[in-house]
Amino acid sequence: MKTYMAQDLEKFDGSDGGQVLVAVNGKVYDVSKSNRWGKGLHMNMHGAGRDLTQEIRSAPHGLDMLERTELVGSLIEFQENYSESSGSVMQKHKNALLIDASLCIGCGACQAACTLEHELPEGPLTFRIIRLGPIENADNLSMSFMPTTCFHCDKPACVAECPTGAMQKREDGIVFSDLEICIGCQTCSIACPYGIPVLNPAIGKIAKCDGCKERVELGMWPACALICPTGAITFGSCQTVVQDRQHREAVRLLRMVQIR
Amino acid sequence: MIDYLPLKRFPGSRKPYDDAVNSVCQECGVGCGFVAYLEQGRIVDIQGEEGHPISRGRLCARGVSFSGLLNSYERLEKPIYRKSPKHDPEEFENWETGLDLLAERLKRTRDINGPEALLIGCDPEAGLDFYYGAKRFAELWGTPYVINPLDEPPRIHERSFSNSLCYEWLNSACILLVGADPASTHPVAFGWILEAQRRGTKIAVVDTRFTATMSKADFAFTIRPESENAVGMALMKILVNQESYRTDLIQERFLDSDSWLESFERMDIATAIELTGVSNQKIEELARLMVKTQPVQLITSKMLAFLKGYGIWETMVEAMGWSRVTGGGWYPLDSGRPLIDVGKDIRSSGKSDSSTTIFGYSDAKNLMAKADSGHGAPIKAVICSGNCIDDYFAPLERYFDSLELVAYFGAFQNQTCSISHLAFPAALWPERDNLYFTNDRVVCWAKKIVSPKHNFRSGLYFWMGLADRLGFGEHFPWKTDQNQPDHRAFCNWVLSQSPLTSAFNMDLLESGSADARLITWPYVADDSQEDQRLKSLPVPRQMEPTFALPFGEIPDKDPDDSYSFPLDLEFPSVISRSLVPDFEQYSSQRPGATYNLQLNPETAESLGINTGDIIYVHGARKIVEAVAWINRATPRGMVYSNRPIGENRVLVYRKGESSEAALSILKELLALK
Ligand code: SF4
Ligand code: SF4
Ligand code: SF4
Repeated sequence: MKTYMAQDLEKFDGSDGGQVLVAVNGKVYDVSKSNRWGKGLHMNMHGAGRDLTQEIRSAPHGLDMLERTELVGSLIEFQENYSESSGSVMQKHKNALLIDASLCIGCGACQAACTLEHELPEGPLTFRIIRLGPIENADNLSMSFMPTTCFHCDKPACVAECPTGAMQKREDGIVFSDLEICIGCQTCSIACPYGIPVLNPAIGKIAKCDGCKERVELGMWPACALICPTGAITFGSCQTVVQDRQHREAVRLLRMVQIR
Repeated sequence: MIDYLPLKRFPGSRKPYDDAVNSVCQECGVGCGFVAYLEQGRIVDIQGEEGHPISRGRLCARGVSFSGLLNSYERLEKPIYRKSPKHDPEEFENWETGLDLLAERLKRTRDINGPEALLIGCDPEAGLDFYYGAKRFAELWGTPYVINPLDEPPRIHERSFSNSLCYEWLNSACILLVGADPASTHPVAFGWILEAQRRGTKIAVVDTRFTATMSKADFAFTIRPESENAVGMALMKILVNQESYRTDLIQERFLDSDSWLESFERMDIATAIELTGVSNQKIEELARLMVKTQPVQLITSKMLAFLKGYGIWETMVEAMGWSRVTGGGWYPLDSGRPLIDVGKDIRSSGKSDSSTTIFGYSDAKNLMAKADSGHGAPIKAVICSGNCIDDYFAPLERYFDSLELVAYFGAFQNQTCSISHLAFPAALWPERDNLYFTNDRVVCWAKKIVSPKHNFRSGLYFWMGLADRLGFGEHFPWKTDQNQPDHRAFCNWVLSQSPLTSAFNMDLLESGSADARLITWPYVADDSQEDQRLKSLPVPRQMEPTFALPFGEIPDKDPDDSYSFPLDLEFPSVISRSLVPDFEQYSSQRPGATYNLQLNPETAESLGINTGDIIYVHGARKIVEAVAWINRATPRGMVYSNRPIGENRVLVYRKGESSEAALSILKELLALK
């Protein structure tokens, strides 16, 4: 199956009498043969060559609208972590997951999202929330939370020590264990200075943050970053997340001196 | 105005799916929007809905974990019957046999003990159709005893319209949270509080113990359990003394504003402050902060509704002019459901004469206590839902042995299920169509996401089946052509029963349009208005303000109890039971398996207790074993249990040690006479 970006899709609106494509729920369908779609307009409302996910939910017939159409590919949103160079060969950029511990409330949503995303059983913690406190601080108590996951080290000790070569570092920096190869010996857990890799007892292999490598490849944020209710976790190219942090701080300082 | 543009988010699911359903999370009252991705009818992924105005694509742990519960091995799969809790259960292949038996047993109880011997408990987990069905059934049956732990005294509930949507908190100058820990119980709403704080809003927190919410506060202190409303009274007294209130508003809005003022002038603030256990300075400092940074948004926990003087919070926002302005007002958590009387038509047709007074769980306690002391033994049968015995029925647990009939409607094989005679497997919210009210008072019609297994039925099915068997069928006419309960028609009818909600109907809610998703009750449909919600606020009318409590006359705790059982026992509140009640619990695998008791380091040290020790928690009626956990979040005179024990005051000592020794140590430590 091919992947299409939104701008690619626009060329297939049927106006030139050629192929008519629409996207729904991230999938691209060829609707040229459907007589409902005539000249690229369905019921004179939904234009072809577009992402119709929203519209289709309010349509009376829902997904049956795509009956007798052919699934031809998947849709990718604009991806900032890819850049096009030399024709169609894409190169991976390095991304960063930025964690602002001062915003963390210890709710554990990040772990729950990771558990669902990676189909982990209850137990292994891939995103640990370390609670510091409450400790006495003047006459008050204070407490903070430190969300901790894999640092995807530049020189990862886990990769160096892994006896099977399952643990590896990808071109874009993500450190992950190939579960086809992993034997669950947990050498990496011992090697890692932070004790990040843990055993997934359900399959006898390692559970560790894999940077949501598959999601990131599709241009999506990792599951933990999307879910975090306080925005403590953000994601993007290294430059974007750092700029965002600077911007946020600058606005906060400006607001302090401004009269609200 | 300089603004921060949040980073663009890139949402979606990588999993293969053939359907995506948008819905609203019903694990708590925030009502976050999410998209469930399904493959062949099974949930494969859950992502926040980016366009949702309240949750903006975010969710909390419960909001993504519910799908795991649907296929939990702990689910009750078939209706069961057992002769007594000691007997082995027998399974029924279908509901009908179970309902036949229940109807017959109920009739028998009624013949001997009368209809009022039936008590019904409605857990939030069972859904609103169970609750409204129960209310209606009780009306037909003739018992006034229907408990929903979210019901509260009606006066305030009906009247207070100063609610805001949580994103409006960004406009507050100060947010005061009393007894509420939304960082643990409503994380997504708490996201807005943190965002407001980044914009300069001051966050003040008053609670009985140190909480995650408190860890983010600009100003905070801890108070004694159950003294939250006394803090409100003391604050109001200070504000009245300083004449910080709005004279024009109290004259315009309050009935008898003079005597109201006078009651505060007379109020004994010293006793009120003593009750709370904090210093004068702290309360005064808080009052100063609130006067300096207006408008103030008050956020209170549900538990306050069951304590004396609850109305003070509403009175305060009205008197200070914080209500009906953006960024101010009173936001009681878990109180977004309107009172709807679903028995009116029955009463007017003369079928029933029971009244509609709300019967709360403190009333249930009194009722059972009456039975205890031999003054009539009113309750013989209980129909309940959720794990109520470990929750709002915990104080009643010891009466359960003497009941003739316990019927359970619930999704899990829990403690309540194990003590019941009859148990009926319930569908969970993602498996049924639901009417839902959020904290913001948004009315939602949330369609089911997955099809339930054959035996998982809704609350409406339960009551309808029972009504049919007992001859009340005509009062449950909401059926589809296949003779199945029609939830849509039923909920439509429920909405039409109150003037607060009658302008809603399923067509409007189902249209799913962006405008329809944030309509709050009370709602007046009027197309010409741009902001329907503001326009739908009722015209200010005169209200009866809450007067100062006569503190001098309120005895403190029962003196005997506090003498023999010196420690206050707190536990996660009823309302947050189905939620992750505490930030510690997320990592503790299966909450509820054992008692886990948190103690202050000083208290623990004086008793020679270490983390991990097995200790006895000794109350007036009960002794349980618990694992100790030393934690500074708990103040000296208090212990905090992960689940209710059915006691409010206890003595704690190490297993194998004497209770007298512990008592004298604690008395000295807490300086009790
Ligand atoms: S989801 Fe966000 S706030 Fe919650 S524990 Fe994780 S990092 Fe902290
Ligand atoms: S597992 Fe540990 S050593 Fe390996 S990349 Fe992550 S943090 Fe580094
Ligand atoms: S905050 Fe409440 S509504 Fe939102 S995801 Fe969590 S449990 Fe669900």
